[in-house]
Amino acid sequence: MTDLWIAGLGVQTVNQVTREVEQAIRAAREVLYLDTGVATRNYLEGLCPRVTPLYEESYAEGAARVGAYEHMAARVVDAALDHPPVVFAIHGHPLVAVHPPFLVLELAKALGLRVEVLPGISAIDGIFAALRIDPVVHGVQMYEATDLLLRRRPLEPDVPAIIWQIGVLETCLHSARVSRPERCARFIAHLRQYYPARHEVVAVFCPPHPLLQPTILRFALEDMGRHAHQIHAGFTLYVPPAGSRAVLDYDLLEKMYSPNHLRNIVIES
Amino acid sequence: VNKPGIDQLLIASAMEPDLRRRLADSSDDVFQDYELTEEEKDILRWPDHRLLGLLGAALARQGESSAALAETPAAKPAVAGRMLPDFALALTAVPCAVDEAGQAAKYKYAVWVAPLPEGADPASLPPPPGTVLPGRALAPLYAVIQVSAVEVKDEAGNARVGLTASLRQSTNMVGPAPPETAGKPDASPFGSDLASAEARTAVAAVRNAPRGERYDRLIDLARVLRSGEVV
Repeated sequence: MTDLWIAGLGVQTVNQVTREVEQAIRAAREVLYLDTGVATRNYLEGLCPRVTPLYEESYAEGAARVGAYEHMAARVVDAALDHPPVVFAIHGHPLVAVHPPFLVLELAKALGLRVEVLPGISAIDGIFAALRIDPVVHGVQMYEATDLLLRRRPLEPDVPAIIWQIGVLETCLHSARVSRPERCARFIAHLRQYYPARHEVVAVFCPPHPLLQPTILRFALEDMGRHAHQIHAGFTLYVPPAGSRAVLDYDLLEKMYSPNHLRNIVIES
Repeated sequence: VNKPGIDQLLIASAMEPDLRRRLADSSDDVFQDYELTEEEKDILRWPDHRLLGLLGAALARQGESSAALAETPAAKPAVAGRMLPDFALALTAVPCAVDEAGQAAKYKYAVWVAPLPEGADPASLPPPPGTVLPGRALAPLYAVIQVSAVEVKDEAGNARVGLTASLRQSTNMVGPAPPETAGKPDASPFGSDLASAEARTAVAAVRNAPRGERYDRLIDLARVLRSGEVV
């Protein structure tokens, strides 16, 4: 028996809900959700008698986001203790770029609640589809934008980079306000250590409604500030490689097509 | 009338939650509707890695044989270079405090680079002869630069050596790794000590709280645990 499901609703909420998530919602006594999709509430109310939106009651302009996270986690666990099973339903994938589910897991562990995590389609899935890229071919490096600056993490310019949360750069406080160009200055300076000023980057927003197409903004790295007013919290930055890395292990390259080598690395049936 | 076999049961159980539930609760009843071997029944009663074999076999029966594809010789890449031995360099940077009145007034740096023998600890390399540090030495950085080398031909057929450097060790400020909980669903995501007296007290407060006060006790518990550490 499950006391609490942590479930992803997908990026295009109703359109991308998986069957297992829908089954959990049907089985739940309450769904508490963090999603601002226009159809989310109607959809959830068709499946579950008790539906509680968490966004509006959790976030306040200028307040620390960690307070909102604690509030959501406490509301969800409170419900799970009171009338299990419940679903904590979250936009996208429930464990990608979202902190409250981890707080819920932590509290649930301390309180002995049985939790199941049900994946959802993440923004990263939408980015791969929208940009037609395969992250396996050249690899991918992914960082959260402000963490990248805080730790001055090095980037590998020959590996595609995905930088999350470029719309909420440089703050742990919640704000839905439009960014100034200056907000991008430190970010651009960091990336300029690894990429040319005119290197074209792509800001992507995967739409929350099936009538919308993905928003794709292409601009030179040094011009990012000019687009700051367009880049909201839902945008992710894709930085294409600035070059390619040469093959260095020719010994392995030769062996990759050798039947003898294959026989040496597998167990004969 | 032929009964459906294992393939049909695997497909139906992926689509129908009720069938999955019946398989878990009363598998023998479900088995009566399908033509199954004893081994298949055993795997379905106690699903484990063996089920992957059934799924793979079912998938293979659905599509064309992959054998023909396997016979097709793959294009072999042109091997256009020759690997040369790698080598490593140790870059030592020593921050030196220049004291005034017993306080560090400013910092200067002494820096040198030396070949790093295979397996050697960069901290064991001595400074170059005659080195004089410009102040009071603080904890140094021992950066390790790995250089890979290949011999390649240019367009005219002349040999050249391609070198690629990468940093193998780059800071003297490595902190402890965050708690590793990947693939451990029973672990605490933030590595909290749930057995600590403080955590147990907070958990008990949640459990004993009246309905109207439980939210506040949950917030207290979240803060006792390591959950507030976002950065």
